[in-house]
Amino acid sequence: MMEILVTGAIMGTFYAMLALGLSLIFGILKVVNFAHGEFFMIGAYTYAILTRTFGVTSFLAVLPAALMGIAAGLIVERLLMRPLYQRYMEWATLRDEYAVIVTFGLSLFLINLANQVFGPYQISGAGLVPLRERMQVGGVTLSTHRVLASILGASILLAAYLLIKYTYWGKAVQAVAQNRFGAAIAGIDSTRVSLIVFGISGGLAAVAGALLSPIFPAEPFAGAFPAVKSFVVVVLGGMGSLPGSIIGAYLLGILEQVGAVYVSYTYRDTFAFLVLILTLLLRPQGILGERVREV
Amino acid sequence: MRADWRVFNARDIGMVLRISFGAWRRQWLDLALTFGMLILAAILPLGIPSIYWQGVLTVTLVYALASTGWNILGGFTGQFSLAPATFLMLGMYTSALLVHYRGWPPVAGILATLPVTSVIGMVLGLLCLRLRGPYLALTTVAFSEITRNLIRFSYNFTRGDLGLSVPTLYGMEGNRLYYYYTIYLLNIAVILAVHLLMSSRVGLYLRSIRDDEVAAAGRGVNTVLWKTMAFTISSSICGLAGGYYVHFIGLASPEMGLLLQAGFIISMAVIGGMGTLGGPLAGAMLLYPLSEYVRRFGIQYMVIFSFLMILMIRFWKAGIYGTILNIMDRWVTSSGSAPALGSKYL
Amino acid sequence: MEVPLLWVQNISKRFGGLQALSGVSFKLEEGELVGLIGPNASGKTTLLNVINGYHTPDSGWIRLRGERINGLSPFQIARKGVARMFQITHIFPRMSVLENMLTVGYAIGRIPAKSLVHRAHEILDQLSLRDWIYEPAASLSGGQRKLLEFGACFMAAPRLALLDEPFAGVHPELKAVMERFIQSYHAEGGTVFIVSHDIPALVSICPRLIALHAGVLLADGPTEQVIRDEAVLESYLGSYTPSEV
Ligand SMILES: Nc1ncnc2c1ncn2[C@@H]1O[C@H](COP(=O)(O)OP(=O)(O)OP(=O)(O)O)[C@@H](O)[C@H]1O
Ligand SMILES: [Mg+2]
Repeated sequence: MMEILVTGAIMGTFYAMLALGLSLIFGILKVVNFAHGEFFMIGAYTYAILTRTFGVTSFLAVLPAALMGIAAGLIVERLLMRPLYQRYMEWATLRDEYAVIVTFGLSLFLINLANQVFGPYQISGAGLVPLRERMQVGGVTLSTHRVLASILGASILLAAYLLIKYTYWGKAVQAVAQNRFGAAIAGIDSTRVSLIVFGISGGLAAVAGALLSPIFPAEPFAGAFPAVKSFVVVVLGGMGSLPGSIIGAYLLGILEQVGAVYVSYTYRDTFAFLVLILTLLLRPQGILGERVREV
Repeated sequence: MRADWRVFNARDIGMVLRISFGAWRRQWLDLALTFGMLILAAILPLGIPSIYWQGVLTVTLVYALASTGWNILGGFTGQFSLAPATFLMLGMYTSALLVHYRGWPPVAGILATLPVTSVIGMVLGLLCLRLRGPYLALTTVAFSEITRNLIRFSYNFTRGDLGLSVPTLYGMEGNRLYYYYTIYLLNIAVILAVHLLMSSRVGLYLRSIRDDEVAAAGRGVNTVLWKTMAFTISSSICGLAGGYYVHFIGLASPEMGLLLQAGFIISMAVIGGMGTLGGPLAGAMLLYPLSEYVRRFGIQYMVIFSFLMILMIRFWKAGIYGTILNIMDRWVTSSGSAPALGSKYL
Repeated sequence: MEVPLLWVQNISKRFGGLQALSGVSFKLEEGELVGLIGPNASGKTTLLNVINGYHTPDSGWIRLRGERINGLSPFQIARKGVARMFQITHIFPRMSVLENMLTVGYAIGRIPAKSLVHRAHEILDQLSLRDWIYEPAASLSGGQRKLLEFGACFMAAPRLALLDEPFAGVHPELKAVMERFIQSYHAEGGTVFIVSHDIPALVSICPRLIALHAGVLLADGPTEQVIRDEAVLESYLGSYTPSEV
């Protein structure tokens, strides 16, 4: 039981890193970024190539991975997300369509681009410490890399969360998420907010990708599963709710472990989808989400 | 809004059959243009003696059919399903399993895809009733991944990733042109049916749901029924395409259900022009042969197409065919009595 | 005429911790023209949403010609002849103006399909939207959209038209057109229920007013009487400024 909890919590940390970014984006733009997994993939590739091909020290390689993710986020925002909030009214009816197609298209584009450039091969990153090292946590033997990676991930996650909760720009993000027009009237630059959000999201996802790349190697489809899991997490936690997405992440991490151990190992990746469908059917607004007024 | 069985009433169902030809000039123009393309498609394989390229054209029309099916849901009704490829795959397996285990002739298998995939589509539609936008897209992703995994892991029944071999429709030695014209006729039948549907009042209902579901319900449109219908019809068309496809290539495999394939099908509709009758056909005729062509140079075709799809939706939402249609539409109207028609149908 | 057209009895509606409507009851007789007034957030739109079936009331019932309609879906209520114009404009932007009108006509099906195109032309003529008939509704201006929605409301010859802020953002001339339209519809025997902050307009066209305040029905009666009502004056008219949005 303890083992399930610990392994679940470790995975949960990485889900949370992805889900927080996804949730932030949903908060300010009310769209789901289907290309979120590709930020993860970018981080994984950067880290794996730096550590394997160029022999960069593992801890140092996390930083460029994060920077690549941030850059990817900023570029995506700059090039593709603007229509979602500039000329807002004209787009009002098209935005869902636009957002789904554009982010889904972007996801396919990046996956296939990676396939084109790096080929369908797996490149696994070097561990933060040699991968064979083990340690004891709460009576469970775990790979030291996993433990260190999840601690590092969790501290970055915490930092990002505090940044959003307490800094000026973090508050601006929250303001825009609650009321875009109101925030604009209060003099908040929503373009900048949107850039910040995409930067943070891209960075978090990329760091998750980097830290996981020794376990789930970098490959074109590396981002697909983590992304899908984080979609499930944000729906479970309530779209746009930051605490919700973190709670949801740990919940899903543990649920999956329970499923893998007690139900079926083959279908371990399928449980997430069941959770998604059940949530949408039973409580569409998620654990902490709110329903919006329509008429 | 609750999903409520009482709302499925006879009056609405009967309405599918009653066509009203009103002021649907644009729809007729759309049909005329589409038939222009279909005539081109009729003579195309005759001019290309290569068996390989005739095969490519056949697959092109399979994709065109699937894309037309998705267009009903995504283009006309605004329900952004990412599962068209899954229904293609389900169509493939429906027929393949029936032929393999029950010894049905391929034709019967192909026909059986219609009821089977309609029912599955209807169930998915009912599941998605209250969802829209990103939530709907996510649910369809979940649905397609679950389905694909079920097929992959039910190894004893479906042969998993190895795929299930089935006999082809006209045999291995069969004339390639037979295959081509069969799917060609299926396309014509489906396009005509979609035209009739969309130029009837049902077309208005579906488009009103796309534009504003809440308002549509407030104005008497049975949104529950028509959304479910759109799912059902769309899925069965994709399923039909799959049923045919499996008896062309002779192998059913879960590869078909990848999101990548869904992206391919959707990009055809987007690049051609969503929400038009001929857009998906135009998109398929453009993209599929091109994909075969660039494959020779070792280029991942989806790199190009997804990039094109992003460009199109960003800068040129009407799509290629859609733009031509808009131009002709304006041209026809301004030479007639009515005031100038805007091209802002998007 | 013994059964009222619309009979709202003891309707309450709660959103989380907010009591939007509490125990609202009133009747609308066939062929009446009634205005609903109340300060912002007094529950006017919510009341219409409940009548329309968008919200289910927590208590009470609503009858249309004696037949209970709460619990039906919005589209079923619409087909019984309850038309609705929304406060936030809801049109179908990617359909032409004519198609917008026809959708309502077909979906509600209260008048024969053959005469729909003709009727749509008639209404659009009156609302001076004639030249936009084949234009996508997205190309209309804000005020024109309001007019289109107003027209669509009357497309299917509703028994009861629920208009939420029909005059907001419309040019005074067109407002006069709308008022005339409402009055002629009323003269033909139609029932109209108008929510508006435009008191002068309501006073000039509605013989009867209902006032809501914080979800409670404050006053209901002849216009003259309601606008002099102490409670209404205090809650609403006293602080009323003609320049609201
Ligand atoms: N779907 C909903 N969810 C939560 N609260 C709601 C919802 N609809 C209305 N409310 C709340 O109910 C109260 C009444 O709102 P309503 O829209 O009915 O007011 P109104 O009288 O129409 O005001 P106005 O004159 O500004 O249009 C408001 O406080 C509003 O916030
Ligand atoms: Mg209101």
